[in-house]
Amino acid sequence: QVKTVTGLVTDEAGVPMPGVNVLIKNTTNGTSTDFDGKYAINDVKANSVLVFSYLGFATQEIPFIGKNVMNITLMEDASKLDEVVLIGYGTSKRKDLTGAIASVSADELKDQPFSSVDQALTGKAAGVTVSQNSGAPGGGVSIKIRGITSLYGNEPLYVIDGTPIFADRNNTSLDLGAATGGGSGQNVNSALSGLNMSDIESIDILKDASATAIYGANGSNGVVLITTKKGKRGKATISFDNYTGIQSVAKYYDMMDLQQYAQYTSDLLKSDNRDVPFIFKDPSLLGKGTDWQKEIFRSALVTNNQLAVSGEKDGTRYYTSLGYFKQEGVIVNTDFERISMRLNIETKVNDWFKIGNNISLSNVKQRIVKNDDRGGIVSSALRLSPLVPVRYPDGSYGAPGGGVNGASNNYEAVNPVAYSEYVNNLDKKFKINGNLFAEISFLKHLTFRSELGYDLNAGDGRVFIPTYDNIGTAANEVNSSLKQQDQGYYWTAKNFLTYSQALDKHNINVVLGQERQKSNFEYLRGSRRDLEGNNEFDNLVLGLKSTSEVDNQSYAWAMQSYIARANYNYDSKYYLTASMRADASSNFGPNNKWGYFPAISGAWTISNENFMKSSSGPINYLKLRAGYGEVGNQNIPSFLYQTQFAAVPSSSGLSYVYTVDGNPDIKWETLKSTNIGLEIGLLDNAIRLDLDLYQKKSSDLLIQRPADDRTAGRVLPYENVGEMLNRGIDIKLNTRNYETDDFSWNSTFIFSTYTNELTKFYDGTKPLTANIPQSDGELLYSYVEEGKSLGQIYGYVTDGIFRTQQEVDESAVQVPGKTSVGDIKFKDLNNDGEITLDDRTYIGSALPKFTFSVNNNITYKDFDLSVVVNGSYGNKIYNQNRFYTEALRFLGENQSTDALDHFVVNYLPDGVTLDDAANIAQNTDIPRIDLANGNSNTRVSDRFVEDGSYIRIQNITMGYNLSPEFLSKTNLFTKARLYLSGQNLFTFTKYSGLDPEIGSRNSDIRFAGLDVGRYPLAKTITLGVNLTF
Amino acid sequence: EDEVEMPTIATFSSQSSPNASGTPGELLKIEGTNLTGLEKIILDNTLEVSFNPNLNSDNAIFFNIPNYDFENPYNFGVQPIKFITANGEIDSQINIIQPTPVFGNLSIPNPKLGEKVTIKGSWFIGIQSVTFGGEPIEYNLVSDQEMYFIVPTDATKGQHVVITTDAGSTAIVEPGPGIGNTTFVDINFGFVDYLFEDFDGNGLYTSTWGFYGDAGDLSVTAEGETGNCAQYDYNGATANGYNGCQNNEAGAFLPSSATDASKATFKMMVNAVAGTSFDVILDNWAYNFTLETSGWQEVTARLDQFGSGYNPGNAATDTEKIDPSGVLQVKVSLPNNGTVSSVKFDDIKFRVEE
Amino acid sequence: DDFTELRSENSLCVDCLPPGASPYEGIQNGLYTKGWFDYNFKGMITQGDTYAGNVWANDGEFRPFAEASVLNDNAVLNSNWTALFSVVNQSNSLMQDLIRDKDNIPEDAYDQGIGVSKFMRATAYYYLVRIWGPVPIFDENSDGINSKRNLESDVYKFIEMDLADAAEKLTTEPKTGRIGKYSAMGMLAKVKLNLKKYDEAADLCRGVIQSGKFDLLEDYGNLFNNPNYNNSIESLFSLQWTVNCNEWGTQNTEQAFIVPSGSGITGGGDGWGSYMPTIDLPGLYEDGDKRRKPSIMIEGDVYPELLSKKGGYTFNKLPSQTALNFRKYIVGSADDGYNVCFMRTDQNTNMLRYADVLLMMAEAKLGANASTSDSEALSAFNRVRSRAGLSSVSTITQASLFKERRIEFLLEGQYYFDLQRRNRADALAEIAAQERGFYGDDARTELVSIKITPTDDFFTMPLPSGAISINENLTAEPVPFNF
Ligand SMILES: [Ca+2]
Ligand SMILES: [Ca+2]
Repeated sequence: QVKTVTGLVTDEAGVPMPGVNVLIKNTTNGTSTDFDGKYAINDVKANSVLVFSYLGFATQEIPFIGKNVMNITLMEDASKLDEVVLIGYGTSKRKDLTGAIASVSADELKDQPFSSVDQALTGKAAGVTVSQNSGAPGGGVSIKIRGITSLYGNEPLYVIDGTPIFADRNNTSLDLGAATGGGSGQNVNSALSGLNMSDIESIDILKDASATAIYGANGSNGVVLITTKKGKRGKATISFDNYTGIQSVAKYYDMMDLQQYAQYTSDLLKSDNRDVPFIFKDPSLLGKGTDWQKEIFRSALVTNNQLAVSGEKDGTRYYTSLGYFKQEGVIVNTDFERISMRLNIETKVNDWFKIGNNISLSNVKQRIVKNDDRGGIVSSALRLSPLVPVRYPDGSYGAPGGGVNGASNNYEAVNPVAYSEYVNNLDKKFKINGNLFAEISFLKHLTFRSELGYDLNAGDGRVFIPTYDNIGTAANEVNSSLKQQDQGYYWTAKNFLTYSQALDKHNINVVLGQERQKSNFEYLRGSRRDLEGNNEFDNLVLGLKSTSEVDNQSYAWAMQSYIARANYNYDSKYYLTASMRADASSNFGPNNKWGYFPAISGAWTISNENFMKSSSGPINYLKLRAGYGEVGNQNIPSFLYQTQFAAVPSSSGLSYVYTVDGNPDIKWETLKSTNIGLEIGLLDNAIRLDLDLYQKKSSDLLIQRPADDRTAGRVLPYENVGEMLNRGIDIKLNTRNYETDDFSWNSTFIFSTYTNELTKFYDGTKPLTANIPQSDGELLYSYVEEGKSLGQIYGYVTDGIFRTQQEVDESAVQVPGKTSVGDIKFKDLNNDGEITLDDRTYIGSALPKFTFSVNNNITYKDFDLSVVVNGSYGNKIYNQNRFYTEALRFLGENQSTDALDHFVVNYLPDGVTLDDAANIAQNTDIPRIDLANGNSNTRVSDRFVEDGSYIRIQNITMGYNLSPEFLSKTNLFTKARLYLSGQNLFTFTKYSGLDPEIGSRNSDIRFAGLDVGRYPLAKTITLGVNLTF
Repeated sequence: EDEVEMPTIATFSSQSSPNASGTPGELLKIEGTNLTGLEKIILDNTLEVSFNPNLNSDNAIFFNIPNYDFENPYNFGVQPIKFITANGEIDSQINIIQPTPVFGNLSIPNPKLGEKVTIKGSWFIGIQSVTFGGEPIEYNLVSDQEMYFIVPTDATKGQHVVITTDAGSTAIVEPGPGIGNTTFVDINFGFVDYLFEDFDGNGLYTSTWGFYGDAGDLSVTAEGETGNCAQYDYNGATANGYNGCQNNEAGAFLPSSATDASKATFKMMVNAVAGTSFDVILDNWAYNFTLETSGWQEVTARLDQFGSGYNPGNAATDTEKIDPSGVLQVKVSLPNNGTVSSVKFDDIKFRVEE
Repeated sequence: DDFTELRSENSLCVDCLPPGASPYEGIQNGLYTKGWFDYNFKGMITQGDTYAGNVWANDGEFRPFAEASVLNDNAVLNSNWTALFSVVNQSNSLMQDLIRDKDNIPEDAYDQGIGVSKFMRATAYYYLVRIWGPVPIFDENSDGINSKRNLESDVYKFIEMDLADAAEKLTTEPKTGRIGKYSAMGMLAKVKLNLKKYDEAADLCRGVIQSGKFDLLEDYGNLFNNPNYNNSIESLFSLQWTVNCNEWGTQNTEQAFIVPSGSGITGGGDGWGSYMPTIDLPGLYEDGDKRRKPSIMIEGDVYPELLSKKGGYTFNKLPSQTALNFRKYIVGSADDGYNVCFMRTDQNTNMLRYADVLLMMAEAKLGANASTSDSEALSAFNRVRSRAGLSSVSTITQASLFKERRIEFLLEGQYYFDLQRRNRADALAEIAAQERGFYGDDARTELVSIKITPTDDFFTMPLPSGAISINENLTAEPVPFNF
């Protein structure tokens, strides 16, 4: 009895599924569903078993029981073991992986009001640490995968649909140090800021070297593979998403108001034998003055709109979208705007030829003000006197002025509101990014794939500084305009052959390939001053010709590579993978141009063994993985193997200075990493644990030689001088806590910890150091010797304050002739009776002991709720803001209210009698006022080191899905969801600064844990809607 | 809503006075009640006064008396002033005190006669007079900070200028090292003084002095007009028939352009008993001085009045005159008449006219 | 493989220089600008004038110098060390490359290049040795890693050798603004004065004077306050600045720190009045000294050339805590017709000028004597006085010589080094007598006196903490240099 069976295949929502494979088991007789999800299959016998399979869905085997119509509902694969994971130059099923790869799905990223996807990865994958270097919209993000591998550039390699994006290169916006001041850090954009988050289908993060070795010299910091959405089965869907939210600053510093400031300033002047100005003689007559933080911070809107159409027709899958994202900054005069468009198309020309093109266009516009710097807007807002009004009644801006009211000569004190309005960068970037590919299947098992990836960027940066009246020390009487146009062209061409065959229980997959990539970046910059037209236009042609200045620089690198990889598995039980990549990079000279990066890994799926299959224990899945690989890091500026000199402006003739002291022997940094992983599924995967132990050993660490006497004043050679060891554990635990038809509750718990050690550095002859720039010049901040971990804050240890002269006399000599009662007492660690540089020590590590996150998802009928909590434990922060806000030495600068209770010595504050003074002196821990800073009370010491541990309610989202019954009545939407989401809602921390989540200043690991007045992260509440037509 | 309470003023004082009075720019202070929400301050019903809104609280207002604007002046003296606050208006008065004029500087420190000299300074308002050596002169006012006058053509020496306004007079400031605001108009009569020797280490020719002939002694003493001076003594001998003292090392010292003896004048401070007669000899040209009184005094003689051949009397008949630029030595000689005599001299100068 | 053989398009690599002398000339030119920038930026005045008592400065890193209590972590102290060693470094690199490429360079260009390298290196060492005494000597062959300091006497010997060789090699007819033979002789003369080799110093000065190539600029103020007079006949060695608003490190920054706060003289956001003349300074000038007004502003002084479009600038004492302001090294604004931008002027810095040679001549003749009336000394000395509108003198004493130098070279970073050459007791007495304080009230009448009691330690600056943290061997005893 042979029959023809027909039927309809739908998904859980009842939507018909085209393209589902239907096969009669153990035969070659098969078909697939049509556009409407219908199928018909002949020759079905009585004992036949029909197999329905579709990527990402649990395969169903249904015995034929004689019915001619079999309608099937396919369920999405809960175990995710069949989910397809990108592994670089190919894909794999999760169950077949031998390396440590974490995946994040679109679902986990949705609804979050971020300008770029890297921000959204916080707490999503074990071993992946995300920190925002700046809270500015579109601002830079640091992602570290499994600790610190390198002394420079720990950012991973991002690959979007096969095209790499280099986080550390050519992604800075216009760095206008000369025009707006400040370092380049605040102008660094997220590398992914041009990518619309809503277009992302999934993210796979390759964490260990056995997985990343296929990326060779670019793989040492891990690889983040991003897949954008492709067209799916059947009927085209139109989706529209919108959210709109409001952002605000979560916390303020507690600064003095005008009355308190008057009191403090009087004390300060008296301590230096100066007159107290008339206006400060009776503080009770004064109001509260300007609260500068309230003036620069604001409630700001964020909105996102996305329209996407996708589907499949006649073998062509398409996805196209249009997105608009706009985020105002919580600091005035900052914002970020993106318009993006994507077209992903892929067509099967015939049985053996497939071609596709993924293109995205984006246009990003960003306004940046100076922050994260001592002269930056946050720092100015803290430091500027509350006496200064934002504006005078006639509308003109207030300014700290003259000597009359005891204002200081400090040239950094400007009206930050005015400054942000007058001095900011407008930065635009137009980006075309994509990947064109063709795939030819020669034979059944042999495929040739060719890809051309490209990332083209056109940047447009502008700084126009209008003329303005005094907003600080002086007016700007000559306006100026500076414009920069830049182009970045990156392309990569890959050709690779894949041989894939299953023979009996042997499964083989071999990839052989070749790749070339090249990047060119060039900018042209021009400026003029004294523009006509009343500050209305910024065209250079309006400026004075004689002030024209022009600059032009270009950068290039190229790499040529060969890759080979073989995967073998036997019966889905035993897995072996081996790979090798050879890279030649233009960054290195003839001595070391080529690097070779091998890897090997294996896995054993114990649960597929018969003895496990037959057991009825709680363990339903058990897999052991182990891998070893070597990868490289070539992340240094180009051409450092050559000694170079550069032209500088000169009053006459050619003028050069030596710029680079070349080192012909520099080579790759090599990372050797070992990973052991365990995957356990319990109770039918109700509990699912992934545990990875790893060791990463970096050798030939690249570093620029620390300046010494001989080489001062030029770019010093980069050298391969050190080794570093990271050891860590990544744990991810998924649990299905409760599941009924109406109610489900899932949790994910992520835990990461690692230790870091600089095992070798200049053979122990030099430490790794970093200095903080501040008013007193560059002070040593971090100092790491061989054997210590990175992120060490280094300085003096304090021991309270001197309360009596006797105590001063009996203690180690601090600063000869300068130390007084009321000064900080620094500890004489080497007991030689005087405080010298030798008394500095390690006073805190910026690296956390562990980080974690907990993610709970609950659905009840049509409602869904997700709560994400994350945190960090054991890291220290150096709160450099307090160098200013508790300085007790800068005339004309505001102080935190803590500083009111300073130690009183040799003069009396108003209203304090001599008797009181003694009492005050006994109780406070804040040192005396000392304009001359004789004892250097603000030197780098544990005084400003704070515990940076925190627990943060990262996100709470509550959604409501309109019921299908209701929707089917409207006949308009197939899906509709409304949600309310809160981001960065509350932070439990002892840290006194605005935000304990401190990225690395200028993305430099040596500045880990340094807070110099960064742009704080906002708290955001959004209301959103997802509609599918 | 409850009725708002009106603002009131309890005290109104300034930095310098317990009353509401002060000079332009001075800070004034009001203490009172309900003063918050200050919106405007209007002086004399017309002038809007700027203020720092942060210096306004419920119980105080601080503001500065507006700076004086010459183009758009206000009146000095007692003026009405109005404060408009959120709670209502208050009317009051302030007394704007005109500051005494301040002398800044002269555009030309040593003008010529008849030359225009600009004075910069401040508070040149309500001017009553400008005087030169006490005598009123004509002037032109440019602004409250600038005026000019013509140096009187009949002036015979430098004088102080004093400006007097309703508020008082500028103070006299004597010239001196590092003083930029001297009120002394040091008139350039068209000459340059060359200090030859002051016996204090200054001058064009500061070699040691020696004596010759029947001279007694030449000493440098500390009793000079300025610091040290020279004292020359004739010992009464007549053996040589002449006597004198002179700078030992000889050399031309006046500019090579100074060739006209009628435009060069010799000047010297001397002190000797009344009736003393002595000759000043330049190389071999001589001039005789006889003192009428004792005590330090200046003697002067034009170089064309010097006689040739050591004889002052030749001056009247000499057709050739001394060439000042060629003078090498200065000598002082007392009558070689057997009577002991002595003369002190100091500050030897040559005045060369243009 | 060709694909990965790329060349930097922004800079020249040493291995791919065009043949001939021009690139080396370019590197020499760079030594007059960026090479010295960091020392000129804050160091020259702070070490040479502020520390010695000519300048009151209140801002953080400067005030310890004004109060003569500088700690080893002071920013200016630290940057002076690296700044001066960067000159040494650039000079050594130039010398190395010249020697290696000698066959391809014309002989006279080669000699000039070696002469410039040695002059620059020696001059940088001359500052280093006077600030710190023993310092490590690096020549073009040393690797310099973790070096110990060399004996002070060896540092001086090294400088003398370099300058003597430079004087041999350098041309007598240098291009405008470039150093030549007489620059090296002049610089060497001063080194000899430090070493009390007075006759040699006098011979060197005489050589410069008799060359007839130099003279005093008629208007003293134009030496500092007007870039149109850059490289005048008075200049033997000047740093050559240029203004590029987007480039840091090729300009003169002095006026930003000098212009009175809030005056608007620069036309930009700078001008902070950070360096204020000490209260004693005006009293040093004799009546009629024409240098006073172009050097120091006193209340009421009018400068029609500043804020020229607004009718001139009248100095008001209020912004200055000492009621005084420097005029020297203020150029003005773009509005006044100068090339000026934020913290940038192209006013050259005088490193060695003819007036210095004249006064060195007098100093050499005076030697260790209390006074001199030597005619060669007097004639040189009186020329400087005559330009200042002052009468000639017939005797020069130690006090009068150094007083003249203090006035003539005020704010040129020399006073501290001049004090070093004086009889130690006189120097200490002079420093102890200085009023280094400021006025505490707005009326500028209440003096907050700051006096210091110097000892010999005054003349040794602490080794910078930054340098020690990189190279702990610096704290070891100095060793002889292997010449
Ligand atoms: Ca100690
Ligand atoms: Ca006298």
